[in-house]
Amino acid sequence: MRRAASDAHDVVVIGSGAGGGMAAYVLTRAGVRVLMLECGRDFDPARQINMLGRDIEAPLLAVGNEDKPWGYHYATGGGGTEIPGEPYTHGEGSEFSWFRTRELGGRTNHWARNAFRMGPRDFKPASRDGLGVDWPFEYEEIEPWYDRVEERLGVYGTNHGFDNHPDSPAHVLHTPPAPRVSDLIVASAAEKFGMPCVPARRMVLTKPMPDGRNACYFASACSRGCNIGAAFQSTTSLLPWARATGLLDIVTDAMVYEVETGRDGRATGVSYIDRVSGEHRSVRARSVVLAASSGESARILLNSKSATHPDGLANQGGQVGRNLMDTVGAHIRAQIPMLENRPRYNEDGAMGIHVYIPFWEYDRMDRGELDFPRGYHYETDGAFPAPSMGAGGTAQFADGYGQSLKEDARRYYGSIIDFNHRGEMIPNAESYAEIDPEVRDAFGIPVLRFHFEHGQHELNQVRHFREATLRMIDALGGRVLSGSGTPEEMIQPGGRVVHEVGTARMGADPESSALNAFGQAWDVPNLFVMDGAAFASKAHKNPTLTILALAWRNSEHMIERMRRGEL
Amino acid sequence: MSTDDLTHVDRRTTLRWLSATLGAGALAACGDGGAGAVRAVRVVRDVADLGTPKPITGEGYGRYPDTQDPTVTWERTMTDAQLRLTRALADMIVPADGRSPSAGAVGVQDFIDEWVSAPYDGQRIDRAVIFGGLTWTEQEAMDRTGGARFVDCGRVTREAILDDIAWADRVKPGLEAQAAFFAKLRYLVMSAFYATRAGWADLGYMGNAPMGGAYPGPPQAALDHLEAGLKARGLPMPALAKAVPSMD
Repeated sequence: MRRAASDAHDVVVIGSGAGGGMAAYVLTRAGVRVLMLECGRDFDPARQINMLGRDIEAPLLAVGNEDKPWGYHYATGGGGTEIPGEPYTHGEGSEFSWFRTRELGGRTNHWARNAFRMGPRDFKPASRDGLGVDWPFEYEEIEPWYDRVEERLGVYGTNHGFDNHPDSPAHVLHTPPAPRVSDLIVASAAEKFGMPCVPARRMVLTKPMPDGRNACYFASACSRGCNIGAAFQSTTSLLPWARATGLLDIVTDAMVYEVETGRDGRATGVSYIDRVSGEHRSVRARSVVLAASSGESARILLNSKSATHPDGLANQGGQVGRNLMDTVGAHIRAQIPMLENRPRYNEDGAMGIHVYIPFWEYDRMDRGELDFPRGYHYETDGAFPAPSMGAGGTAQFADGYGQSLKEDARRYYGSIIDFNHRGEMIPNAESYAEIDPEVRDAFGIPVLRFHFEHGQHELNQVRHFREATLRMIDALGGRVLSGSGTPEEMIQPGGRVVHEVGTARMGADPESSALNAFGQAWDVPNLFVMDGAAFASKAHKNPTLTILALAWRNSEHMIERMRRGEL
Repeated sequence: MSTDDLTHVDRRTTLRWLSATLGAGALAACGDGGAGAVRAVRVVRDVADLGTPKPITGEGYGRYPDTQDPTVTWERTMTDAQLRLTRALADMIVPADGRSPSAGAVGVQDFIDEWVSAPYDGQRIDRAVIFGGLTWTEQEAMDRTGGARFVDCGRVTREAILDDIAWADRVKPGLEAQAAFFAKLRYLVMSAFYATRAGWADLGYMGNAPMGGAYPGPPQAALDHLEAGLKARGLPMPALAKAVPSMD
């Protein structure tokens, strides 16, 4: 193993997505020299995203296959739940999909951009219902960091004043796009049953930003990536901003497998494998930031065994890899006759949710009238899709052939509504990742073995969603096409929502957590974790906004400690 | 089917198609139904021959294709006879009318060729299904007409053949595999046809068109249609319709 000449850096950041990108941005603008190691390839949105290419112009109508599992234009960058040479294993009877990207920017290149703040209840869940654990701080602690993230990066939405769905300062939010017919019809049914249906929050710009990023032009699936800068991704914002300081170096294809520690137990640097050459390399740094994704960060911590840390890093309480959670997912699809043959117009909009149904049952929950303790929200979709594989959803109705088939396609197009459940999961002892004692990947790195189970709370939550959804579909005169079974049939296996968090959680003490309230490892003072691994709970809110807010806050904390000479 | 298919298709699948194509009785009479069965049948009637497709060659496009320059990295493999038959079927599935051309007219058969020639697992399965189904269709035409190819048959014969396999509640008993072939072909034909500009225009898809300024939302006609539909169900227009601030 040879040492690269990289002592020119103060901090090494592992991962380039939301957490790593934010850390690099905040640290470099404070004058800190940062080396970022990304395990995937380099990625330049300007040259590598095809915003408006039609599926018919791409091989196989752009559908997924072994090479591009999520579709030709999906910005997964070599990623997916299966990556050649990079296996993971499962405990007996466990099902868990581990989505990984192998590209600069990570999941920020393709994510849905849904950006909901966690609320006061979400940070102190155990105090209310005795389940899981509390976070080591209140909502008020992180509120200013949400404000900063929203103002700097841009979020569309409105304030509603709802319980546990915090408002933003008046000037911060971008105006949300107007609701479409496919949104209004859901709202009509929701309102009938006392469910709010309001503008959603997404990290999509609807006005241009002073930093040069454009407003959304209301075309092109956000999952392709956004090379006009409107949909947030680190590769069009945080990373170029950090690079502009001259203080950020990025090395791609750098597969980190270990954080090295000295005799005093402090981190001294990291070791990685160059994925192209296969060469082992080592870099030194004053501090290390792990933001490699919940799974990879836990894997690196657990694989970083030494005399001073025989069970890996941050693992003095045995919490690393434990408390694995994913957003609870379920999905019901319905066909709504009143939408048949509806007037056509451009319904692409912001290519994601314009509106959503936030959790509306806190009062009943507090009165003990529900058989599940945590909330969920709805994300729905029914806009006219760009016809491609499946003929814009109409091929599923096809029978026979000929003129009647063409007329049916026109009739059914735009009449399907998808109701998606996004719910909170409570950590449980049966859901965790550990190092597989036998299996190694193509680089020789021991792999993760996943164990996963949902509890009765999650199943009861899905049943509630099912009943509420069927009521709405019935009110609209619709018919269910798929997804409405028993809760056990409906609940998506772990990892499918790609919100896995919790594997190195923050907490108030080193016995029950891996990190302190600043994401700092209890047992390695110059090691910070800034991705979803640090989450103490998995609220139903999509995690990225909170990852960004925590990374900003915790990076500022690092800077303070550096100025005090403690790091 | 060509030998490259046989290497990729489960033997039972192969035998099922041979059986369906040639007649179960003929196969059963020839013992285990190997190649000898084909020769045995040839002496009693004309056997559909759509030619020998080229083997699948080429690699996939890889995990990091240049998406700004989408490129199919494999050769098409279907024979001219297969393509002609596929086009005839595509034109029956999606015929021309006053609003849009037929599926064959926009070249859907070439997409089917790209699909069944692809070096990916899912498409290899479809290749076996589609090639088997095309051969069955051709054989059926010959059997019903005393030797005419499907593409040379009149409308009545063609429709009689499809009517045995195309309608979900009217599949002729024993032709379930052929019905599955037709459903697969129909799905692919519809997908490719409606993905073209002609297909987008037919369905009225108006997106993938960047616009400046605020997203305008639905026009009045679309709102009126919704309001009428909701009213028929006793539902009002939602408060949301008036709640979102203007982007101006």
